[in-house]
Amino acid sequence: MMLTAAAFFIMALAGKAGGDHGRVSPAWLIGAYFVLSTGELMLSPMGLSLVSRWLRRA
Amino acid sequence: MGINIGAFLARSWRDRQAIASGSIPRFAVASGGMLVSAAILWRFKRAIERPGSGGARNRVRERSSDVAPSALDAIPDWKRICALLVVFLIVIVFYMAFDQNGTTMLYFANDNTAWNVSGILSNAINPFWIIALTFPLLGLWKYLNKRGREPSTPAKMVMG
Repeated sequence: MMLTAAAFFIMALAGKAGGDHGRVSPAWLIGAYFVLSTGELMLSPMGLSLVSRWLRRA
Repeated sequence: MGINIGAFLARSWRDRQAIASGSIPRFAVASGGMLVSAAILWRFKRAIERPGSGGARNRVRERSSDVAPSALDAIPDWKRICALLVVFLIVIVFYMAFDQNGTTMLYFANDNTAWNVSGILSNAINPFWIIALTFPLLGLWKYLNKRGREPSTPAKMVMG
């Protein structure tokens, strides 16, 4: 959640740097995706493993 | 991991095809690909679910009983269901933000990024990072685990 928030904060900064019609470097997107993907890796697999661990074994 | 290898291949490769062919052949390729993977699953389903011994289901059972057999069984069903609902809620909120990569991030890539490719290519960045980061992150957890400092699952989710 923290990393995801940070990723979109980076995108907000990128939007601020470029303004409404300006164009910014793709490095902004790649950097934001780096943080966002790290966040995804820490949330999505953890959720899956939690669910499979908590389910009652039939 | 497989999801992201597929997503990376499709998104980086489709961009070049998109100019040449219309949407009907592209959807047809996607549909045909699904039939191919269904055929693969049908062909190898015995390897995945062998009745009796050694199937995937049994392996999961062994692993989950390794973790905490008696402690988990003692927790009543309603408590587990509540805990699962909390996890679902967290994941729902996360993906509300995350799936902006198909909309807001894509618009940004198209309209506000100085590069000379289509913004659709930006959808390949996320699976690329997933593929690149999975093993380093696993290594990090292993390293921290060895030093007895691996964060708990909820802590990881909060950080993520």
